[in-house]
Amino acid sequence: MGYKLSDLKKMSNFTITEYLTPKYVYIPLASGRDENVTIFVKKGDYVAIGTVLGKRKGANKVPIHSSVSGHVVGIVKKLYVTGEMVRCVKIENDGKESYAESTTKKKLNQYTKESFLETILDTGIVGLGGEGFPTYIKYNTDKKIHTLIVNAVECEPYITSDTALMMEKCEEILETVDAIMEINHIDRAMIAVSKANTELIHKLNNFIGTYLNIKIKVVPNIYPMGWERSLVRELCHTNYNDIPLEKGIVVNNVSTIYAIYEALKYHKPMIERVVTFTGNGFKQPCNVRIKIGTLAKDVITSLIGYQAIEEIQLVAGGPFMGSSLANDNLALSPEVNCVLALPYEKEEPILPCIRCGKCATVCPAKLNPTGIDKAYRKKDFKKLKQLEVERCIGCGLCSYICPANRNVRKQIALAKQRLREEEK
Amino acid sequence: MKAFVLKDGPFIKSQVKARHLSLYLLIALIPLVLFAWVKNGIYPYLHQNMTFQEMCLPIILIVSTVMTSIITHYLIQKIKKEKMNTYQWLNILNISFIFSLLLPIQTPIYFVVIASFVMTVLESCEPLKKYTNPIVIGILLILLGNILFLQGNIYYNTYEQKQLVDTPSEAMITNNQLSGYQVLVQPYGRILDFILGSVPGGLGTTCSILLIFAFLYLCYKKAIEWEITITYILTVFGISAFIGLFSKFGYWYPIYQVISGGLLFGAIFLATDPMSTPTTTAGKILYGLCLGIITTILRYFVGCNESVLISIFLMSLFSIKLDDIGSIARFHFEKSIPIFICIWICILALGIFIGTKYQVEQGIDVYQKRESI
Repeated sequence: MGYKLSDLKKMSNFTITEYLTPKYVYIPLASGRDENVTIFVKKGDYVAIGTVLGKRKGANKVPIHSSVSGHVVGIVKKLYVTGEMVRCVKIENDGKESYAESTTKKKLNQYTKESFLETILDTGIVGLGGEGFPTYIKYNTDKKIHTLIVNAVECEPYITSDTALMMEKCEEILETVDAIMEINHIDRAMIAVSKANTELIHKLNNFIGTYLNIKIKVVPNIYPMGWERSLVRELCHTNYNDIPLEKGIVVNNVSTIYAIYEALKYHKPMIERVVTFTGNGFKQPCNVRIKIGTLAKDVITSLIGYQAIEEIQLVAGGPFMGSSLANDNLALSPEVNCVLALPYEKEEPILPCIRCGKCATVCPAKLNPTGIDKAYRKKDFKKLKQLEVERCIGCGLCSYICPANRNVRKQIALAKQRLREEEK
Repeated sequence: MKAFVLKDGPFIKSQVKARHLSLYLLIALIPLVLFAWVKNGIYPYLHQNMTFQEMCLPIILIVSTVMTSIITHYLIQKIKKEKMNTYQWLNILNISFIFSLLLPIQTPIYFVVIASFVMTVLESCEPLKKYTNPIVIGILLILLGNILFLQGNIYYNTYEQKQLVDTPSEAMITNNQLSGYQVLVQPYGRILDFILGSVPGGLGTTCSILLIFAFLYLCYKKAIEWEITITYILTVFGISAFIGLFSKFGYWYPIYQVISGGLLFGAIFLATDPMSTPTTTAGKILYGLCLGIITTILRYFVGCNESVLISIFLMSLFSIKLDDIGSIARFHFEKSIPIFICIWICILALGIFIGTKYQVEQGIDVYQKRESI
């Protein structure tokens, strides 16, 4: 299941430009849709790089660090990756780049499992593939982990941040994978790369020889092959219910592995990431290494530039999973892997469903959207449950493929929500 | 000042729209429309077996269908106060072309107008469309009209009328399907004539080679899915192959069963109508298998001339149920295995039962011979 798309990745090349000296940063006090964060700083406080600004409450107690050194200007609301306004710590960058803790070099393999877990929790490592799931949770288990999958698939069109990072830091990433395997006693690691990404496959082949337990796995160039579940099914031929750890598998994104490298080697917290700025709405699409909390607007003004188009669609994330933005004052958080600018085109009229079944054919979660839509309209919750609407991952392929121009994903999301409400 | 437009994702869309799918269907139908005119009009006229008026008859039938459908749909939209879009225009053109290609050549124009009107009304009626194929209803109306008011063979053009007694599907029925090559094929030439379409039948349903090209084109353009058509054809082929095996017919028999009686046309253009067929893969496969079984039962046990149309009509009533089975099979395939096993047993049993019940000697039906003694 899935669909081969034109990848449009050539637009942003695989080199990384840096934008690491913003005047202000706005560090979002949120994680995904969770804004349940305890704040540790107040207006006027001096913070260094790595100072803990806040901590998420509950089970995901990952700290949020300052990405620059300077004074806290205040707590303000800024646009977040979800397209909503969230509280952010506004810090004026003094440009001194002073760190809260020393960043002395350590050897990657000198960690025990406990110190490894402690480090990735302290440094606030979260998944950089777009979900922002705390990484320490993936490794915090007594269960045997037998396989580590490094996700370098980047299946959404336009996005190239992982590929660019992998091209630049290939050695470091492989070294980290090897170290993670040793620390966690993992038997094998697989680096999943899309079949279309020949440059990366070639690059990896030059380095992989020294790591006998790390294999390059070429996966089909279809969307959403980069989805954790698809990848586990493709590479390990198994299915799981909630998380891959149930089957002794951990999946990490390339950027996350590099963040782990910096955490283990320099005890560097999660303060930077690579973001793809791309789309026909930008003058110079490229990959940019930014400080967490940098405003997208600042990067666009300094490096990218808009095309002379009146109406533009700005998206935080890829063209399928991303959120529409009302302006470019987006505070770049670890979850933002791409900022996409597309010229706005008038939409085609929405037709009644022609029952062509294309949505069912492409659905990677094997759903039958036509049946779900019908059951939802009839308020037939028993049928909705039977059709396993809960499995929807919101990849948006159904809406993409629909010849009648219907927003099928939205309908399924509504059905899913309605079923949850009904079951409460 | 730049304006940022907010909208729901995904932010890119496939360029293939409903109107494109309809256009591909129309493109696939055009050669068949031309064939209908050449076979039933131009060719006999050039061989001086027809008058000019008779030569124009196929086109008159097609134009009458198309015009009636367009006018009816236009009026319905006016009454509903809805705007017509490109997709709807193309869709109406397609259903009227498919309908007209199924028409017997001698159908009176007023029959065509009435049936096209009913078909278009059904096509415009959303709830009914899910349970039935309007084209099938339209054609069944024509055939019913023929039985009630005309009672003649309306499938021949003037040229064929001078030479033949039965259409191939009538020959099948009158001879219990189990006659030999001499009875079923030879009166019309060779198997090649069936493939090229120079045998009596619906206006544009007889040319197997054009139909196969149309199917390949539509699959390539993803305007239709292969599952229903292929499983339907393979089921009929499979059962006929069994029958052929037990009755000691040659390889021609299963091929003959597939390329005669409008089966190919029905499998490609009628059985794939998205509104009245399942949307899931397992549902489609079950639908195709059941169509094959029903068609065989209707051909051998009921002696029904329009087995393909009636099978499609009957199965469209169950398409929603089959879709439910198909949806569950996507997650729990094991739950649908018993259904598939039952169907395979049914196919096997039908083949063996029909093949062993009737024995054939040198092309003459022993069953009939015994009856006459």
